[in-house]
Amino acid sequence: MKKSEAAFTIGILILIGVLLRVIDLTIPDLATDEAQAMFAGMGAWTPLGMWLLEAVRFSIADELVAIRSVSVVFGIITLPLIYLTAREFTNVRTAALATVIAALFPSHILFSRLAYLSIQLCFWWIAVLYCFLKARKSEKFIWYLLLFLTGVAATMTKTQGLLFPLLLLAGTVIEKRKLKLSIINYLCRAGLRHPLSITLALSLVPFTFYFLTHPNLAGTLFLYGGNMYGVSGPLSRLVTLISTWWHVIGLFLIAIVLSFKEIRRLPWPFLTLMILGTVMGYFLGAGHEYYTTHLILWSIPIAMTLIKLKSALRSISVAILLLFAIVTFGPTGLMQNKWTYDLYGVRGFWNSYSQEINEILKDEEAVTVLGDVGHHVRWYLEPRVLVGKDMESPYPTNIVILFSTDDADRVSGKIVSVIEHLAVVRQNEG
Amino acid sequence: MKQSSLLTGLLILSLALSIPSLTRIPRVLPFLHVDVREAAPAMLEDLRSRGIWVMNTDVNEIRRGQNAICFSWTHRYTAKNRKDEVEFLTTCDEKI
Repeated sequence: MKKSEAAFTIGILILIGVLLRVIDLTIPDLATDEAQAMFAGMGAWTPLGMWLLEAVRFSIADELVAIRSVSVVFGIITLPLIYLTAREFTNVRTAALATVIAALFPSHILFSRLAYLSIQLCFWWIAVLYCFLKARKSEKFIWYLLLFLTGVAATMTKTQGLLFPLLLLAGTVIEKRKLKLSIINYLCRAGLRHPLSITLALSLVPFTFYFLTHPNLAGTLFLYGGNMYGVSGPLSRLVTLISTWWHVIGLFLIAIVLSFKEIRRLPWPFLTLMILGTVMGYFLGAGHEYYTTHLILWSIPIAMTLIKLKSALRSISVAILLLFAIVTFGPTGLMQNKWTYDLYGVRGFWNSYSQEINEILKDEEAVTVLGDVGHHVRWYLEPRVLVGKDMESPYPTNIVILFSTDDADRVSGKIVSVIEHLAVVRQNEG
Repeated sequence: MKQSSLLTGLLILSLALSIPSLTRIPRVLPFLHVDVREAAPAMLEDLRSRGIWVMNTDVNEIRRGQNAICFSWTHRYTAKNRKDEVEFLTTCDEKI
């Protein structure tokens, strides 16, 4: 293949990846974590990602397509960042191929279409990595400044954003320890001569003060973490994690396994981020699909593996990955099939019925909801929603909405309407 | 590049970005007291029993009296096309 033909093919493949990120934005229901990012104020996470969503809601439109467009932008701008990062330790051909794989990477396509904060964090982490690699090579002030700013952005997007800058900081200290410097000596003297670690440490300062002065964050970690965080049930966590990966990225999981042998050729800062992005789901919630966003980092070792293959075999491999991405995340209106990712296979409950439910509730100022209530109900229900989980009957609203029949005995009244699993009950007076 | 000026600049920038958090220190200082930390879960339970979305609350003030610890909260109900006025709520934990 001629050089110009290869460049054209790469351009087309990347364009397909970009297009897959911008379609079908309004099909899935808003998920509770997406709504939490939009509505949660300061209680859930550090604020930068939530501010961005709020800015779009109030300056552009309070509509699904506008809110999810924030993720689309982050998803698309991650692609050149993958190229630039790969260029730091591979050649142009490998970096271009890595960008193609990244463009077609299913989990990154999926979370570029949804308003989870993982896509923003993924971008900021890769930006931290790139600035770190550049700052390590050059003495230019701009890379230290950008490293600082991206570090602040990563830590202020999600609480867990702290992990990568912290690991990089530890890595720089360990690296200098190999130069026979004691930690005290390093911190006091060598730190000034090697400002990379000081820059990283300073980028953590705004996060540290934010965390210390917002007790809600610690409360969220400790009160809601429950069994989700940690290593309890190690085997079942592993099984859940791998089945979650398989569910979202399918054939790309096989490509990841086949690229294992390239790991030893990766520089430690990249390897640190890739391992972090791979294992964090295991420790923080194996069934949470949004952690698979970070698996996009495997695009680079996959490209390093594919580039060694003969041209025909490489083309077939890329074609298979392209086909998988299109079959699972292709435009639903044109090519829905049995492999279409389940969120896009059927219209969601709330997108189907919220209008009908709001018609029933049109005279109510507030309603109480019982059952497993997510933040997304505030998006779909027009009256003010009270969380009834810890409330006692009688409830302070005329209408109570049951999300499950398990809570039927918690309210006495007349059933006004039943829509699939949801029941609208008018409470008995008195 | 002069290392000391770079680091001084970044130190100033990091403190500047921390100012919004630093101004909140007085309101979270009471958490240094064990009884305040012990009372916090009950305060959250109280908010939940009122049907409040706890994620949308923020501690405004903590008062340690002889007989009770009281938390003042701000809460703002937020939904699609809706951002209500800030509400001020108080929860108290009676000391036995």
